[in-house]
Amino acid sequence: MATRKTAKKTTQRKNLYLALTIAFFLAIIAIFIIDGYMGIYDTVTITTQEREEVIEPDYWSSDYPQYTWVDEGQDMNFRYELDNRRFSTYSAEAEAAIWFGETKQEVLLTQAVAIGGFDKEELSWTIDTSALRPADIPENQDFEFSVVITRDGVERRIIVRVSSPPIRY
Amino acid sequence: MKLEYILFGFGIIFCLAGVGYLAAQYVKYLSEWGQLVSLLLTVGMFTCLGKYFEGVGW
Repeated sequence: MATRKTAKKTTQRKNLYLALTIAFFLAIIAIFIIDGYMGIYDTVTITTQEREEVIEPDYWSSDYPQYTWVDEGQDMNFRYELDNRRFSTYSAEAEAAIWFGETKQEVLLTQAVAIGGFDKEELSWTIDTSALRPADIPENQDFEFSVVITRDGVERRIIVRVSSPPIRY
Repeated sequence: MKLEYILFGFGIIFCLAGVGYLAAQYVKYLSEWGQLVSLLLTVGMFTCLGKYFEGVGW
């Protein structure tokens, strides 16, 4: 009788460990889905000259700033894609602007977005780099500016280096 | 019979490799808290799995 009771207890404990293993595994999967997949993800695609650069959402978590470059006089086309991986609608005021250091130079775009659950929206704008050179920087010197995208307290900064045209003698 | 065990072994290895690869790809999207809780749950999961196999008699 006592042996049967002990065997039953052992089986129950075994099943408990198996149930806990499965529960922990499911909890890990749930964390991966809720914390890892769901949320608001933004991707920036820059097209200029003959190349296209894509800044994926995970790049933003990096400690290093995002850099790109362009030859002076070329247009830069920006595509900003917002991916709402949530059940609710995401509403925000998105703004893209050109900054020189701590000074806002030009607002490129201001748009209110309302993206439905598991939907995407794309904003786009173009920067003409021929009219951006600050007055205090000589013609043959490269310069930098930042494209700052803000929405709902989130800031994305892309530093653009503009190469000056070669000197013709 | 032995061949079946070898095939099961390969299946298990491929499953673990697949899950490991997906986890490695997705873990970068997790917040720090998510990573910490996932780590603790993984430790708990393997502990319970070990205890289960111990109970089975392995």
